[in-house]
Amino acid sequence: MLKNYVLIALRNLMKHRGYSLINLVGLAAGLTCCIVIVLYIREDLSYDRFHTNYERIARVLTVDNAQGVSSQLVGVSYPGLGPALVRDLPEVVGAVRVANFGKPQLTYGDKTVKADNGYLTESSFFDVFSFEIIRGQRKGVLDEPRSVVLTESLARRIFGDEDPIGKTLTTATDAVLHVKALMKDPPASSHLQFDILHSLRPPDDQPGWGQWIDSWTNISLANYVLLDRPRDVKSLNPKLKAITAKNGGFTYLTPVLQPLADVHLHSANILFEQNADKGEVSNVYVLIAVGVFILLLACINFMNLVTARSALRAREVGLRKVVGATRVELIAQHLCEAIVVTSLAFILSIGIVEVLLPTLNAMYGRHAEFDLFRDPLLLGGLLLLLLLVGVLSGSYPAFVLSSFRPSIVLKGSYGTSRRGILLRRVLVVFQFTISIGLIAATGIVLEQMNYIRTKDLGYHREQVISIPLNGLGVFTRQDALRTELARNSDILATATSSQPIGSQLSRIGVEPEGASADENYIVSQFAFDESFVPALGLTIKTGRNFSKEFPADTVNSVLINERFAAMMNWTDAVGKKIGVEGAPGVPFTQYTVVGVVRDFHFATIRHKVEPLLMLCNRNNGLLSVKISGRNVPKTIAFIEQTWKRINPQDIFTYTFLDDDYNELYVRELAFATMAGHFTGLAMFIAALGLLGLSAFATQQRRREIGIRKVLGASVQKITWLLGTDFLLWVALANVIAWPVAYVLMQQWLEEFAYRVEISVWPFITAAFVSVLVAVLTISYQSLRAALSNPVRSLRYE
Amino acid sequence: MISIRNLKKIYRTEEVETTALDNINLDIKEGEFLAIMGPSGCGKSTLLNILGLIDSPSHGEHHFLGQEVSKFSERQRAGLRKGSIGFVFQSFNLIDELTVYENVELPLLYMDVSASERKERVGAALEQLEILHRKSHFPQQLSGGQQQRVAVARAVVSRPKVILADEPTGNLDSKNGDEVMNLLTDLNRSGTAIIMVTHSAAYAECAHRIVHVLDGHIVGENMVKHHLAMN
Repeated sequence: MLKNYVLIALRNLMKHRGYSLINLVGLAAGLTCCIVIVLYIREDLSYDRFHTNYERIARVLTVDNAQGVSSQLVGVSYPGLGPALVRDLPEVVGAVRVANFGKPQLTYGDKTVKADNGYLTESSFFDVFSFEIIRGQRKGVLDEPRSVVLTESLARRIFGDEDPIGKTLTTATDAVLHVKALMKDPPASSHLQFDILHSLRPPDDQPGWGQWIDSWTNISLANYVLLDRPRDVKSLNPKLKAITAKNGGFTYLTPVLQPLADVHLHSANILFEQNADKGEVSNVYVLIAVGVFILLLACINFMNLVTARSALRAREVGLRKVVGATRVELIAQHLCEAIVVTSLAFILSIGIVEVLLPTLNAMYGRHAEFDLFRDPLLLGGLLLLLLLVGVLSGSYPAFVLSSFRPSIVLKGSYGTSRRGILLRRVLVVFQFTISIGLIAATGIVLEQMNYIRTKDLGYHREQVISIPLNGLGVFTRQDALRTELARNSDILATATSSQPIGSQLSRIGVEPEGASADENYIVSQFAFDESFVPALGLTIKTGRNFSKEFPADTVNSVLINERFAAMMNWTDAVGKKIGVEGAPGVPFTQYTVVGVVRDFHFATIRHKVEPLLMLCNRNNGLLSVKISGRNVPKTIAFIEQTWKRINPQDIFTYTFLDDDYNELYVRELAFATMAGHFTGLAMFIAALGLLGLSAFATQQRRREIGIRKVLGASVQKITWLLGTDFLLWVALANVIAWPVAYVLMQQWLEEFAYRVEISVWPFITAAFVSVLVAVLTISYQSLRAALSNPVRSLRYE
Repeated sequence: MISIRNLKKIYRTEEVETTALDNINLDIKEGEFLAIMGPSGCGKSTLLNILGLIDSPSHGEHHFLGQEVSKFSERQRAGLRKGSIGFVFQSFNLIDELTVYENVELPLLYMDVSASERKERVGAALEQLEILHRKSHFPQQLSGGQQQRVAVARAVVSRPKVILADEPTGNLDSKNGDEVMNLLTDLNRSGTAIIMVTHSAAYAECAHRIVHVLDGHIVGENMVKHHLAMN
């Protein structure tokens, strides 16, 4: 019997090729979309799972309750905390500290490369985590000061095929590093991404470092702990607080644990952290919703297309009933047919995903893998999905078809109940509602992205080149470099700062004038020279910029932003005194405010502008070059030549400030792109559905059309008659979709500290696109019906 | 074998109620050949559908093989239908997507007949109707007469007690029509009861008895002469 079902399904498919194609393409599009979404959700959920101790690892975060801090959760904690937890808490069996090591420049022989990202850490890194050492010692690998572990890819860049173990590397500051081990590159699903690990153990000539790594006076590195067994980490937080108090930590900096499982998706609001390709759980929910919607669209399509053509199958159904088929058997047959079609679509979509995934990964900045046959869980899950889609989409047609009464259908006519027609219309309205909602939502996402890209940030980010000044030599020769660069008329200004603008600034404790003794103030700090304000287009609201005319600026003057002044309720901030924290145990250094800078977005736009303290410093690690924008390649070539002449030993690297800025939102932009693609696909599927339904409706009304034509109706009149009916349904879908999209997107926007006002345009676009698609699909069918010979349609009735 | 008493069939739409059959009383014996005649729309096809358990009456009694079936559910009727009733239609009603062989095999599939027995019985039916050489063809590749042979083969393959034929010659030319009538007569001779709706007085003469239907009533009944003579 099953053979008979499959046979007739395949023969039907072959016989009505055009229709089969529409059906298959619609289903395959929906399934492809679903598989891709499943892969991306799996990717998001797979983060850090490769660690054997996945369920026993937690990261220490710090809640910063000081005045002046609005983003309170940070990924750094007390350097002394990790070892103390292992000592004092029986639940903690291991800990590792991880600090930023930047992008060190490494020289081996005559070859110099820049690493992508380095960490300072300790040997227990390999006990807590499951990163794999392939060669060299494992035990105590980072116990010696200046010892390093390289990843395979960095080792290959430096050493080629040479064995790196035992070799030495020189940094830009002439430190000599010893390569102790070689490790596999971190998997793409690791939130820690690095290519070099450097020992955290302080060298003998660095006493400050030694004090730092066991200190309780700052939060400056990440602590990870290994628990004795999987635990509810919240229950340990009071113990962490007690240990902090015992060791003299600050009352307003409280450590809390975050399970490793939460690091990738539940860290959106956390600042100061190492978290590569940080995801967001709300995006996962959005993806799930989009996947379910698109799958529903595809299923509804299938239902509509199959039931629309049920007239052609009616006789067969009648006959099967006559020869003894029960309704259950007929339902089974049509479900089986739906599963056959779904299977074909499924095979097609697997092929499409296989081909498309690398491109999509590149476009969305993802690294999902698709290896169906080595992944039984995925295979099983997808087969389940296949079955679900088959049953879901086959059930309604099966129900309708099996209900045909043989006494009626075998005579050649068949009735369709009004309820059936209404249901199919409701389904199409539902499809269009989803599509319209998605279009409007995507429109709003794009508006927000555009807002971020074009927002006045309070500084100029166009035509600014950032050049890191790494290395002793480069550092000392920066004045010479700047003098040489100034000779080119296309170079408008040069300035130095502690960090690129837009990157995460560090925070520092302050004692502003007039603050009470029991209040703790922590503000962001930034250091730059007197050229920075004009070069980057910052605005001095009151007071003055740093100036060479005031040589003491570097030791006793600060600028603050408006937010800082507002925090202190200072109407005239110039002349106020601010104490700034220095080394532990040393009294705060007193500075005087010489000017107030208009608020600018020194961090990402996701966070509110916080109070900022700006110090005057002429020895900074980053050079910003403002160029005219005329002949950019030539200007860059000039900068590079000048650099090489002055710093022949050192690598020249640069980035454009606006590129760096866009980089901050690359995940959001990729997500917007993805949303746009899925929306397009949803609209496509909905259009197919409408094509099916209009085909069905025109078939239903063939006789009516015939009679109208015989009575003299024109082609236009008939097309209009058939078309207006559907346009009303599409209009209804718009009315339903708009408020839903508005409310949901308003919620999505809440996540942004600075957000766009939702305009009417996304809704108008959605309405326009939906009506256009509807008109195009319907008019094809209507025109065909209107142009057909009335004799044919009347003869059969 | 079949007995109908005071049978009534009413069709209802939202506003109109149509009485298709009224006060029908009819008995059909095993092995009998009955023809039903009447003008278009008189209710003869409705009667045939009720006799074939495809449709159920609104009122009245309907006994089939000793069971009262008028209140049977669709499932019960389907169960009784398969194996005991065969159908032949004016428009053949073969399934276009199945071959001749598969079309004939279909009733046996629903009767859970084993594969080997199916093969045997389908082969026999096709041979009996001299259409075995076309068993791999699809219906559209056959002439009307051949298609109706296939339909008859499908009706007999389940070895039914009765075959219901709804204008079996209506779509055929006279030569093919004669052939189909000969087939039905042969089947009847071998013991299968036949109930046939027809417009053709000549073909009705092949039956033992003719029932005339008009406006939903049986208005007359006569025995066919040659059979009277034989009896």
